[in-house]
Amino acid sequence: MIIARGLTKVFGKKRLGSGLSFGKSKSRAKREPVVAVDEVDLEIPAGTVFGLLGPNGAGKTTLIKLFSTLVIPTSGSAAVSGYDVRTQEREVRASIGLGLGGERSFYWRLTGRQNLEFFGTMQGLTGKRLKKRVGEVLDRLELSDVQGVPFMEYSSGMKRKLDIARALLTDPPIFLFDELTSSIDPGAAVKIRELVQELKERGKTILLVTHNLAEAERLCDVIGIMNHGKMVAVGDSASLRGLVEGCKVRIRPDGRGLELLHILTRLDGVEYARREGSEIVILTGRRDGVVHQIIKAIAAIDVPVQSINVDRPSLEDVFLHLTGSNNAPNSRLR
Amino acid sequence: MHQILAFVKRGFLTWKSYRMAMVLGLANMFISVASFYFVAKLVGFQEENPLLKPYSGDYLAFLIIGIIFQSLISVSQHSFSRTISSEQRAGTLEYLLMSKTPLYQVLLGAALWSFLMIILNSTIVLTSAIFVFGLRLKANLLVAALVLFLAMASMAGIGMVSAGIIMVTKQGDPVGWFVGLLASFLSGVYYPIEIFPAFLQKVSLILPTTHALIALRQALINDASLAQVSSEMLVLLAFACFTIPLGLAIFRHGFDRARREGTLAYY
Repeated sequence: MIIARGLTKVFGKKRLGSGLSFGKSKSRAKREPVVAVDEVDLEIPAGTVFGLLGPNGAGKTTLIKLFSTLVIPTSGSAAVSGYDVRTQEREVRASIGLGLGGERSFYWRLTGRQNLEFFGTMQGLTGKRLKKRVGEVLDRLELSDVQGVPFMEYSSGMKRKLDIARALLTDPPIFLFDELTSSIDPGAAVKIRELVQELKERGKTILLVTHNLAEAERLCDVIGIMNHGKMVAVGDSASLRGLVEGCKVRIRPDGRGLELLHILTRLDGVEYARREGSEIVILTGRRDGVVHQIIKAIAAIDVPVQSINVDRPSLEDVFLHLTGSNNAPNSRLR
Repeated sequence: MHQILAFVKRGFLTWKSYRMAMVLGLANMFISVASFYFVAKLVGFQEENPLLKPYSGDYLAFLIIGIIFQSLISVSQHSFSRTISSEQRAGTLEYLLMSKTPLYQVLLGAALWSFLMIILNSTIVLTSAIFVFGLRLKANLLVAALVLFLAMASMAGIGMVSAGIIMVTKQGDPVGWFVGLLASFLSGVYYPIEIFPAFLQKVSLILPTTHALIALRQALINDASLAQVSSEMLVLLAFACFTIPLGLAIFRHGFDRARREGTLAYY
C-alpha cells in the first residue's frame, strides 16, 4: 500500500549540481523555486496497479523518487508498506522493487547475470538462494540465453528487461516502474504486461508511470493524471472518461482540410480541433447541439466530406482536457 | 561481508575486461621505478648528507617509499569521491543506495577495489625495485603496515569529506585538491622536510602525511620498532579519530542535500 498526504516537493533555486558560488550572480538571483510535486494526496491499496500519467515535467518521476526515498519531501507525508519515507527509509527501500528504466543503471562490462548477482547481493541475497533467484528472474524475463553477454552488448529492450528483472529479485510487495515497456518489442511487451497482471494477482502493489495510454487503460485498475505537480484526476478508466462531457468527432474531408480546420476551431463548444493524418479530430466541450453546428459549418462552406464519426472521448482526450497539453502521450498499444 | 566481496568481484571483472589497460599499467609502473632508480643514481649514495643520514643515506629507498606512500594516500583521499562520480555516471548510484546495504558500506565497498589495486601496484613497484634495481631495505613490516593503515584511515576521513562534497558539486572538490597539494608538496615525498625553511617545516608537521612518512621510512629503512615511532603513530591515530567521524558526517550531509535537491544521480 502507498499513501501520500499533502506530499510536496519544491526544488531549490539551483538544481543542477549546486556547486560552490563565489559571490552573487544575476542568473542565480533570477531562478525561481520549482514545485515538482504539489500537495499530492494519494492512496493506492495493496494489489492495485496504479497508472500515473502526465505530460513531461508533470512531476511523475519525482513522485516515484519521493516514494523510493531517493528524494526528500519538502512537506507532507508518505508511507510505503506502512513505513514512513522520512523516518523509516531502510524499511521503505526493502519494500520496493524499482525500475526506472533508461539505458544506464547497470555495469556495462559485466554480463546480465553478473549484474543481477551483484545487485542481488546488495539486496541481501547470497549463495544458492541468490543463484536460484537470479536464474528465475532471467527465465521469467526470457533473458537466460543472453545471461552471459556483457550488458553493453544488450539491445535497448534487453536492457529494459534486465531492469525489470532486478526489481523482481527480492520479490518485494511494492513495485515502482517508469515506462515499463519502453524500447520493448510488441511481443515482449505483451509478456511484460502479463507479468504485471501476475504480480497483481499475487497481491503486489504496482505504481506504473507511463506515456502509453492504451497500456494504462488495459493494465491499470486506477489511473492518476498529474499536471504541473498536481494530481488533477484519479479514477478508473471509465470514471476518467466521464470527466469530459463532450464527444469526439472525426471528419474525413475530401480536400480543403485546412480551411475547414480553421473554421471548426473557432466554433462555440469546440474544445480543440486538430489534424490527424487525413482526418480532422474535434473534441467538443458539451454534447448538446455542437455536432449539429459542426455539420452546419461544413455545409456552409460546401466542403465535400467522406465520413463523419461521433464517438465517446478517449482517455487521450481526458488527458488533453485535463493537462491542456498538445503533446498527447502515445495512445497506441504496442 | 558478502556485499564487500561482491564489490571486489565487480571490480575484478571490470578490471579483467580491460586487458590492454592492465598490461600498460604494469609497464608504466616498471618504467616509473626505472626512472626513480636513475634519479637516485644521479643523487648518489650520501651517507654523510645530514638530510639523508636518518635514512642511511639511500635516496633510492627514500624516494621509492615516498612515491609508494603518495600513491596509497592519494587513493585513500580520492577513491571515495571518484567512486561516487563513477557510480553517478554509470547510473547505478540510485540503485546502490536503494539497496538494503547501508550507505557507508556502499561507500567503503565501492572504493575497496581501488585500495586493493593500489596495494598490488605498490607491492609490484617495491618488489621490482628490490630485485631489479637493488633497493636495500631493513624493514619492520608489521610496524610499516600499522603506520600505513593509520595513515590511510586518517586520509580516508578526508576522502569521505571529498565524497560528500562531490555528491553536491558533482565535479570539483576543493578540500581534496588542497589537502592533496599540501601532502604532495610539504610531506617530504621527494625530499626530507628538513630542506624547508623553518616556518614551512612547522606547517608540514600539521599534516598527518608528514608524520606517516617519517614513521614509514624509519620502519622500512631502519627497522624501527613500534616504540620508536609511537609519537608519529599517536598523531596519526588522533587524526583518524578526528577525520573519520567528520568525513562520515559530511558525506551524510552531502547525501541528504543531494536528495533534497533531487540531484543524486546527476553528474
